[in-house]
Amino acid sequence: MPFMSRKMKNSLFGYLFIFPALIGFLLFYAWPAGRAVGISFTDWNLLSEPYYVGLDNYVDMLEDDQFWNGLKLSAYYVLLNIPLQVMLGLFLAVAMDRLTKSLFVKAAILLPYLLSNVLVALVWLWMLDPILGIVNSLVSFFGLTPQAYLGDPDQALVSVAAINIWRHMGLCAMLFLAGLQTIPKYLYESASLEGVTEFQMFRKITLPLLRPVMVFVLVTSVTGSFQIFDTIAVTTAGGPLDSTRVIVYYIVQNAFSFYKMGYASAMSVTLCMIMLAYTLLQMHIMRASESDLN
Amino acid sequence: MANITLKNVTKRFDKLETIHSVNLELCDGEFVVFVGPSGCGKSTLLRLIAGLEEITEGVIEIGDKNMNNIAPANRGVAMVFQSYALYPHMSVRENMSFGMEMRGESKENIHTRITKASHILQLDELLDRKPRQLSGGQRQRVAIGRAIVREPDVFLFDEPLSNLDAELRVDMRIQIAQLHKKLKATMIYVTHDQVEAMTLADKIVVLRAGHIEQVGSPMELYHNPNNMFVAGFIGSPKMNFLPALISDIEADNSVIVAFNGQKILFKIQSDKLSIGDPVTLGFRPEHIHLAKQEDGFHFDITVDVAEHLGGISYLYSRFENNNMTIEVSGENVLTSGDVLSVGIKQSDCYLFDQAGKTLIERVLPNR
Repeated sequence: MPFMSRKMKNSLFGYLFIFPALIGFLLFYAWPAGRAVGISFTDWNLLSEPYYVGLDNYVDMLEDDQFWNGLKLSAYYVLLNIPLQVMLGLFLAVAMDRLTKSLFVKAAILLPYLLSNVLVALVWLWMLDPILGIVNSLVSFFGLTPQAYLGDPDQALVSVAAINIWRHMGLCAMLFLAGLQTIPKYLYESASLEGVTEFQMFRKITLPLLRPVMVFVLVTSVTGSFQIFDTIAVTTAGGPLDSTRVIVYYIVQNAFSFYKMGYASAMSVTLCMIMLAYTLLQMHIMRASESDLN
Repeated sequence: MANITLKNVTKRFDKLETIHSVNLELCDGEFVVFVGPSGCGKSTLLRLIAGLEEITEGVIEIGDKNMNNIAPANRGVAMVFQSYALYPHMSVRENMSFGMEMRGESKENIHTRITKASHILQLDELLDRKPRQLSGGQRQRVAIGRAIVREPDVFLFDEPLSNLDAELRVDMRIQIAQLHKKLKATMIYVTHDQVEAMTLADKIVVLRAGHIEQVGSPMELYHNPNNMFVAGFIGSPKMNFLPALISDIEADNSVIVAFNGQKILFKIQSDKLSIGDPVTLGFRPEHIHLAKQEDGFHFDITVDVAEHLGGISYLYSRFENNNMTIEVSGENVLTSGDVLSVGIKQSDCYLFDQAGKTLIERVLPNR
């Protein structure tokens, strides 16, 4: 009998290959997530010892209007952000696929995503400044009424969404472009011989065959958007009048402004569960693990 | 009427010219095979006819109508791709109905056509399956079915059997031949497999490097190849070539060819020949006899490899520094290293000039 069976050896090699990534995952994701679950059952202000309070934090959370408002704002933000971001990304991808192979165009479209979140937020904060910003200068130049954007409770969340659409659509476009390039060209040739129009091809061939990429884009961008924090921290700090106090911003406030680590953890764990449920549902509905290609 | 005419058709991709001023006439209802080695332009020519590529110069007519600016969908052609090009997310039925549905045809009409096509190709049981649940041969039948439901004037096949195993290729080849008989449509079939070309075609178009080398019926090409390229390409195993010399030229186009110390008189056009010119003697593996022939050449060969297939054997042999293949029927015990005396009848010999052009016009056997 050899020391290890061939199957065991193969598994061992597999684990060896993912070992570096596994360390990062365990250290920075799994362990803190586990800790958060533990802390969520305690009352802890970082200074004194945490003490066990059972489900009190979860009960408080369900009765907290600010929590529900944060969730509502985050959901609203996702609705503002995702459809447009995905549609623009898809449009850019199809346009690039059909019209250009230029590396320069691809780089230009991806560039906003390569800038740091904070930098993008700062640049747009200046550009959207109601008095000094270039956006209002252009608006005035065309004879339109200047707006307050990030300073207006009705416009602040929409403005944050616009900033992030600008930043993320390039990445969406690249992901869709990669997906488009896996669809064989002969399918379109065959359809064109059958008199199928370009739009019909897009709807009946391209979209269904992009499904696995679409799942990936939707899951990552929806969960990412639901956790919007940095742009808001830089541009509005949750204001004006709490109009951008989304759930993650509220969690961070509870943890590091109010020092309610247990309560913040309870909300984090809840948010994580919501995201997990959404991801599983989305992947199930869109049959994420199967591709029609191959 | 779906006769097809190509007039001075040229195709350039940027500066690279791949089809050089091709002229071709194909009759309505003919089964035409474009054959040639990889990169000869046969698939490009097919795609030009389909309209999937635009021609750079010249005119393509289908049914006497200029097709240069007509969209692929309006040319009355259906194409079967090498890779099948089935929509992977649609069932067999959806694959066949997709084009018709998109064009807004009535449900009744779609149903009738699918039923008819699936009956012809025995696809009835498979209509609700997805392409990935089908074997290679079944996928190819679906691809053909999708072409049939269009009821086109012209069928275009782009190497449709090259992804199938040997046995299935033979089956599908027969099915395609039967389909042609049944539908009586014009069919153009691209292949690099000369057996497919010989067995399917009414007319073969042999292409090399974007030029047409010869157009003719399979038997015309077999018996009267224009040049050494066609002679070598048509027939399996390929024709053997050996160097010979013009030793004398007499009156009445009588030329004496010398090979291996033997001289034989050929009746050929002698205007452009001179005494001492090198020529190439060609003969097919199936025309070599393991005995000296009365009216022909004979020489000794050494067997390198013997392949015994049961009914016939192929002897891969050498004569001086030239490789040659010999087909022997019946069982034998010949083996590597054997030295054999072989003969070829004069009537089975082909003769080519220095440029590779044929010197002999042979009479086709009567059917």
